[in-house]
Parts: sequence; structure tokens; C-alpha cells
Amino acid sequence: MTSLAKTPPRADRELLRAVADGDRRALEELYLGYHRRLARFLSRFSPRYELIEEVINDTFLVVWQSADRFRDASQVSTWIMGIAYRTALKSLRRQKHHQSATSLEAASEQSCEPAVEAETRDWLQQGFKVLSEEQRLTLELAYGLGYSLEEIAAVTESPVGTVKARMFHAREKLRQCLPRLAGTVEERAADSSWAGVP
Amino acid sequence: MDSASEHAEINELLSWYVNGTLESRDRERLERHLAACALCREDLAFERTLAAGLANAPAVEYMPAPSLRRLHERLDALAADSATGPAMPQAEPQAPMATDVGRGQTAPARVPHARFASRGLLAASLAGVALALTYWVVAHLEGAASPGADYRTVTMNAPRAPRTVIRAVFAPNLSVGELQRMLDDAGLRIVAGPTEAGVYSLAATSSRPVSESLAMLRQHEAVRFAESTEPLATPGAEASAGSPPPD
Repeated sequence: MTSLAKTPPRADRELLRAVADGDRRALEELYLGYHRRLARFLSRFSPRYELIEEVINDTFLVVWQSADRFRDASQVSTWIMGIAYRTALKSLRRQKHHQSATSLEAASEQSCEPAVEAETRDWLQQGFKVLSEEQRLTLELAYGLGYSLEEIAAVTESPVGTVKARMFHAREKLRQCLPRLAGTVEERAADSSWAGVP
Repeated sequence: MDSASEHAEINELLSWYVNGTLESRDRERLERHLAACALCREDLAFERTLAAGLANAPAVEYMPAPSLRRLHERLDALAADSATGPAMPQAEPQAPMATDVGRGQTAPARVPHARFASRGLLAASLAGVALALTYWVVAHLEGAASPGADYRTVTMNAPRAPRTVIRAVFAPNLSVGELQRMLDDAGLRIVAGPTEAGVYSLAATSSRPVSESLAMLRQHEAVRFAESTEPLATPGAEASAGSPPPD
């Protein structure tokens, strides 16, 4: 599980200062340090690497252009992930906008409950279609990257209450969308203990 | 706090209980509540299923090196653009999922021919474009156009050593002996490097196909990335040009 706190802040901070001075080698180091994390973060939203790369490179273009405006009060990783979040959000909205009205209607009418034999992640991939872009990204930040509530609030520049609400509503939507999965869970929950650190 | 408020507040924290980032005080409070709340236990079980489903990202082939090269190309275009005006080469095609971040600066202004009122003006403008292109190429090669004048990308612009077929970066803790064995096995030898970015230029010592040597290199954990200097014959070879860098 990745956490923002695990990134050495000093190293990133020094690199970002160098980037602000126009040092492209420092930008390369930052890029390689974040590439995998960002690719993973974005991979659920598009299986095509070139599209993932587009968002990553747009993110680092902003990092290059805005490094001198970074404020020491925040973590470099939070700042970079925040840029990536907004870039991805914009991209997802554009993708959605480009879909034809027909396909959108068809998508909203089709059942989001996949075949029984599908694995959980495939179910979730289907369920993701009913969530808003913000809900999807928040879920991915929490469970894909393991970020805390406060970290997600910082990355998304949203109040903590908003982040909580996004997660809550995402869960409720997915539960309605995936009754078979929820049923399985409920059956399991009746039999199993909840206690202990997950 | 009444029990309904307590339930609502606790319920909204379940996701971070599951991902293990909840503060200890909240965690203890949540666990006390769970002991008495069947609804929250159900929600917790569902959250855990969501977490398990999202824990593994879809399989994506990571290609940081070519991606980084393309970023540098955009930055080069950006630097050249600011140095010479808008008539610069297009950095890259617009991808379907492309965002418009920074596009205003990177995408050159495309001047429609209809704008030119006379042939003389067109010729003068073309001469300007040619000058700008010349400046861009020179600046690109010398690294003078970028803010970091001594900067050199990992994947392009580096003077290529003779007969170089592969460029690679190795883990810094790799011993000389291990490196030598790896290269011998793959039919390669070092002809240049490492550069400041740690890049080695490798030449073939046998008739083994480059794609095969490349595949052998990439099997080693100590190889941070390896790529052919020339397009490989195998279709889709570029798609696997980079190994993921360590986190």
C-alpha cells in the first residue's frame, strides 16, 4: 500500500527546486519516481497506455511550468498528485463528453451487473460506470494508492466532508449496482468476524 | 452525540479503516461502534470487498523511457517556441484522451495559407519558418534552447557510440562482475557510458538478434530499462521498450 508519507519529502523538494531552476535532469528523476504510481492510478480509467501517458506527460508539463509556484507548506507528492488528479478529471470529463448521446443512453439502460462468474475486479470495473469521475478517482486514491482521508482532501483540494461523502455515495451506488456482490458480502459478513486490523 | 450521529460519522470512516490509514483514536472509536452495529459491519464487509477488488490495478505495461522522451520533445518545442515565436514543429499529435493542459504553449500556431496576401509575404514568412526551424534544430542538438543547457535526455539527442544497438540503465548496486556476465550472456559489450543519467551504450558481440539480447537484458532485475537504438523488426517491439523503474 502506497502512502504519501513514504516518499522522502526532502529529496522530492530538492528535485522540485532544481526543476524550478530549469534542471531537466531533476524533472527526469521526479518523472521516473512518480511514473509507476501515476500509471497505476490512471490504469483503471483507460487500458490504453498512450492515453495514460498523455495524462502523465500533461501532469509533468504543468510541474515543469509551475515548479516555482510550489509552496513549501504542502508535500511535493500531494502537489504532484493534485495536478494529476485535476488533469485526469479533465480528461475523463472530455472522454465522457465525446461519447455520443446514443451510447450514453445505452450505457445507462444496460444492467451493470455482470456475469456471475466474473471476478470481483471485473464487477467493479462495470460498477465504476455508474460513478461520477470524482467518486471513481476518490475510490482509486483510497484503495488503489492507499491514501488517507486527509491526503485525499489535500490532493483533490476538497473539504474532508466532501471526500467522505464521495466515498459514502460511491459505496451506496456500487451496492445498488452490484446486488449479487453485496449479497455475497452480506452472507459472508453474517458468518465472519469483523474484528482486527484489516 | 446521539447514536444516529455517531453511526453516520463512523460509517463515513469505514473506507480509511479498511485501507489502514485511520488515526488510532478514530480506529478505536470505530471498533467500539462496530461491536454494537450490525449495519456498519455489513458496510465494512462490502468496503473490504471493494478494497480487494481495487487493490490490484489492471495490467498495464509501463514504458517510462519512451514516455519521458516524448515529454522532452514537448518541452523542447515549448522552449523553442518561446525562443523563436510560434512557427515551430508540432510536438506531438493530439491523442483522443489528451488534456489541454499546457497545449496553449506547446501547440504551435498553424498559420493558414489564406492569411498570406501576397507571394512575397509568403516567401518571407517561409524564410522565417526555415530560420526558426534551423534555430530549433541547432538549439535542440546543442541543448542550448532548454533552461538546463547541459541537459541531455536519456533516450535521445545523446551522441551515439559506433555500433550501439542497445542503451540501458543498470541498478547502481550491480557489481562489475555481474554486469559483465549479464552482457556476455546477452552477446553485448559496453561501447560508451555511463552518461550523467547513467545510460550505457551497448554493442553486439555476436550475430544474435538485437531483440533477443534486449529480451535477455530485461529478464534481469538489475536492468532499470533497456531499449533498442533502432526500430526492431518484431511488431510491437516498441510497446515493450521500457522496464518499469523501481518505486
